[in-house]
Formats: sequence, structure tokens, C-alpha cells
Amino acid sequence: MREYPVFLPHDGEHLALVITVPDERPIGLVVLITGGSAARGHRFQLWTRAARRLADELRLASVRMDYRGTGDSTGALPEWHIWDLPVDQVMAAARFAMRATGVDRVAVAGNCIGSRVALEVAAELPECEGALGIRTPILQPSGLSEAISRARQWRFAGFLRSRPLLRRLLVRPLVSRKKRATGRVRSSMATALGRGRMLFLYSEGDFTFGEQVRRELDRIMVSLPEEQRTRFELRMLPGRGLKGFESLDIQQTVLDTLVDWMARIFGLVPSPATSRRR
Amino acid sequence: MSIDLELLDRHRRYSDAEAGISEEFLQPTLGLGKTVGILSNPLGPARRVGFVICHSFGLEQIHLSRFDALTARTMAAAGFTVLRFHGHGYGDSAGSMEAISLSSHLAEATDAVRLLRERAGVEHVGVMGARVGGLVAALVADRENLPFMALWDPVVSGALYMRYFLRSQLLHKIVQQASGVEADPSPGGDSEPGITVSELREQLRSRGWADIRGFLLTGGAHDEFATADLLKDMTRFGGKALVVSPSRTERMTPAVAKLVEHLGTLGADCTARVMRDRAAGQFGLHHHANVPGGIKVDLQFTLSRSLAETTVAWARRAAPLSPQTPEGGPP
Repeated sequence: MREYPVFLPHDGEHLALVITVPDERPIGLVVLITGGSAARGHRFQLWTRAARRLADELRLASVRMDYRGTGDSTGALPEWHIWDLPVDQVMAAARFAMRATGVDRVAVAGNCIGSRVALEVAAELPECEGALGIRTPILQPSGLSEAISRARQWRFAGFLRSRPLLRRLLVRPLVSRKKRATGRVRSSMATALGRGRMLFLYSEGDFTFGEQVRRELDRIMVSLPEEQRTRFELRMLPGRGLKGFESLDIQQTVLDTLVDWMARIFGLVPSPATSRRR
Repeated sequence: MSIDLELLDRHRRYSDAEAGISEEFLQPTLGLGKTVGILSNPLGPARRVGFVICHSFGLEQIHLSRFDALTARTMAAAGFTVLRFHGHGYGDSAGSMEAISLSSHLAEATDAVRLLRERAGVEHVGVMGARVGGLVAALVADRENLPFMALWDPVVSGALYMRYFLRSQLLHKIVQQASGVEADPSPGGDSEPGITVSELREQLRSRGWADIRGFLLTGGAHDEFATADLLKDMTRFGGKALVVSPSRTERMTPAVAKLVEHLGTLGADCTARVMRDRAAGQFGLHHHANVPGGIKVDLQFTLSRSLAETTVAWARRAAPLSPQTPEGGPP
């Protein structure tokens, strides 16, 4: 396994990427995408560890990156809109890595906002054969939700906060309807599932997953042809939350899941001498 | 088709004429093994002084990485060559979390100082670091008799820091349980109900490691950090120092104030600054907040810039371009 850190010029800035390649000729490329504020190796080196296992066990190359204005990439990012996804940056990184490694089979994996980026890239990149999303936020605030957020600063909100009964009667029914999946999520899922597989990974105790998310996913799936539906998989991890990968167990589970799933996507069997678990 | 090495090599570095810097990825062997570093160079007149940035510990390394990068670039634009790198068990390094200890931090930083010294044009090397990176920088400066160091909110007592670090696991567990997330109740597991700081310390002794919010803390690392104390371990630093204490008030934290006093007794030329900022309490922590309208804000954005500018102003005074060239004059 070898690693090549590079600065990729993009839109007037330079994106910091690390391309990992196996010792033998790679058979595919995995684009590893972080959440909004994590560095390219991700918390606890999760993407670094994933990249090395993909290379050593599956002969897959990978690219991990810092978004513009984060990590070692140039640019400034004092604030950003969470739905203004940096798809163009990830597409540029994927294209560059494909060119550098000489592969034309691609899969993507992303965490949190990065998984929404992964979804968009999977839809836009014709070579993409699979997309793995960890804690994919498919719901986004509606106009009602935005209004509730702004109203939290009003004096009346403080009055409501101090009265649990009123809160339960007035606020909760509104809050429960505050989010919806966007047309963009639905169309990206349909396009990506038209040519590849998709795995959404959540955990039971995760606030990004709930009944509303399950209903939305069901609704999206019902709208798709049978062939596309069968390419989608929803997997729930028991127990502790995935958020932040804040336990060694959850890190190991995510890594094992990612490697096993990528092996399926690329039609490979992982090497048995794999577990790096302490 | 094989790997396009020429393409990859061509992209290892970039120049930014507007910013007045160039940057280059390095893959040196520092401390325990191979890692990744970035060398920031001035495009304009270069000073003979270079700096190594020592990153912090655990998740602080990620939360402060943008500040480290910003400082390296601001310093390079002012004529200083700056090296930053990933220590073992961090980022793109070859090592895993088990390798992380105070010894590993110190060995890597010491090797990085030597690496920077070998660069053409760099005659003197100083060190910089935030939080635990400040502790590491100070120890390396003292041991290697370096002429310059800049510390931002340095950890002065490793024992206090380790107590805070272990407590973060307990707080994390309380938050998880309050939000309905099930803990792993396996016997001896890191999430065993009722666990305390003392029990975590016992785990470190008996099992040799503990899971602290996803960070694998070894007993050895804990013990090494817990015995570090800048007020006792710094015995000879006589160079020029900048010590900055980000604060929500006008006052420096007591530990940092004691360190400034200690540096004075050692004979160091110490510049102490309090950097007042509303986000000072977030320094080293996760610093992105959600605001209404789906906006994420970097709470540390202004503070990071202020700290970098203060550091550059100090470094310019501490290491002028050359004896014949007054600051601000022609190179």
C-alpha cells in the first residue's frame, strides 16, 4: 500500500487529498467523504484506516479529502449552509483520483453531510457502482421548521419553554412535521439506484433516524421500479450512536461493514487476515 | 494502465502568488515511523528562522488542525518557513492510536525540528503549539535549547488535563444515557454502568487501555501525560517566548499565568497576551454551531485569525529579516 498526498487546484483554491493505492494494480476506487467539519482522515483516522484496509484486503484505491476552507485545503469557510453541498469538489477529487490510478470503477462512502454528498456524486458520476451512507440526513428543514428555529429567539419561546404542558400541546405537533425529504434526495437516489447499489447505515439511538425517516425511505422506495428497490439496503446497528464514532466498537463495526460491502460492490471476497481490532 | 506517478508528483506542491506562499507535502519519518507533513514556504524574502507546529492530543488535533494550517500560512507569508505534520496515530500517519503517548509526541516534534534545520536557509528553529501541542512544544524547546517558542493556551499540568480527559468520557456517557442511547453493559467494558474516573484509571492499570469517547488511551500514555508539569519540567529555556491565553475575560488562566512567571524566572524573554474572544471557551473543542436557517458557523474563525496575527507580530519582532533590514523595510 502506498499513499500520495496532493494539492488539487479547484475553483481558485487547492484541495488537499490523499490517494491510497494497493501494491498491485487497483481494480476500483472508493471515494471517502467526511462530514462537514472533519479532516480528510476523519475522527480517529477512520477514513485513513478504511483506505488502508481497502487497499490491503481488496486491492481498491481510495481518495480522501479536505473540503475547501477545512483541514489543509486552502480557502476560508467562516460559515456555510448545510444543504449547500460541495459536490463539485468531491467530483473533482474523484475524477483526479480516477485519472491518477487508472481505474474506471468507482464507489462512494460518506458520513453525515458527507453521505448526502456521496448520494449526489453517485447520481452524477456514471462510473459509480455503489454508495454507502452513514447517518444520511435525508430530511431537511421545511419552511415551518425554519420559522420555528427563528422563533426560538423570541421572548414568547422562553415563556413556552418554561411551560412543559403548553410545549407539548402547541410545539411538539408542529416540530414533528417540520422536516421532509427534498426532491433532490429522491431524484439522486433514483438515478444512483438506476445503475448501482446503495446502503444506508444508521444506529438505533441516532437522532438522524426515526419513524419519519423510515416513512420517507419507504415512500421513496415505493416510487421506484422493483429492480432499483432491490439495490437499496437499510441497515440498523444496535445500541450506541454512530454520531462522532465515539467508541472503539462502533469504529470497528463501521470499518468492517464498509470493507465487506465494498467487497460485494466490486465482486470481491475480503482477505481473511483482516481484523485490526484490538 | 498504471499509477500516474508524474501526475501525482506534480501535485505535491502549489504556489499562491497572492498569498505569497508555497506549500509542499512531505512524507518524512518522524519518531516511530512514516507520516505526512506540510512545509509552508514564503515566496518573498525568507527569514533564517523556521518553526515546527506541534499539534494537540486526541480529538483536539482535529479541532485545532485548521488553526495550525492558518498559522503556518500566515507565518509563511511573513517570511518564516513552517513545518506541520501528523504525529503517530493521527491523520495520515502510518501509526495507530495505540502508538500515541507523550513520548511519541516529543520524539516526532524533535525529529521535525531536525528535519526543518536541514532545510536550506533555515538557521534557527522554533516551535509552536496549542493546548497539549503547547506542552509538547515547551518541553522540546527546553530540552533542545531552542531559541523561540509560541504557546497558545498551553496545557501546563498533564495531571489536570488527564483528569479532564477521563471526565469527558463520563460526561459523554451521561449525555448518551439521557438521550436514550443504550450503553454497552459488558463486564469490564468501557461503558459499564456506574463507572467513575477512579474506575477508568483502574481499567487503564488492569487492562492497559480505556475507550475515551472513541479514543484508545493506553495506560502508558495516561501515566506519561499525567506526570508532565511545565512548572517542574522546564528548567532551562532562555529564548524568546510568546504565551497566549484565549479568554472570555481580560484575565489569563491561573495555570498559564504561573507558566509565564516560571519562564521569567528561567530568564526567558516572555511576551504574554490575553486574547479576549467569546469563543475562547471552545478553543480546542468542536467549534461549529448550527444557527437558524440551516447555517453552520465556525465559532473559532475570528479567534484563529487573531491568534495567528498576534503570533506573526511577535515572531517578526523576535526574528527580524536580517540585522541590516529593519522590519517593514526593503528585503
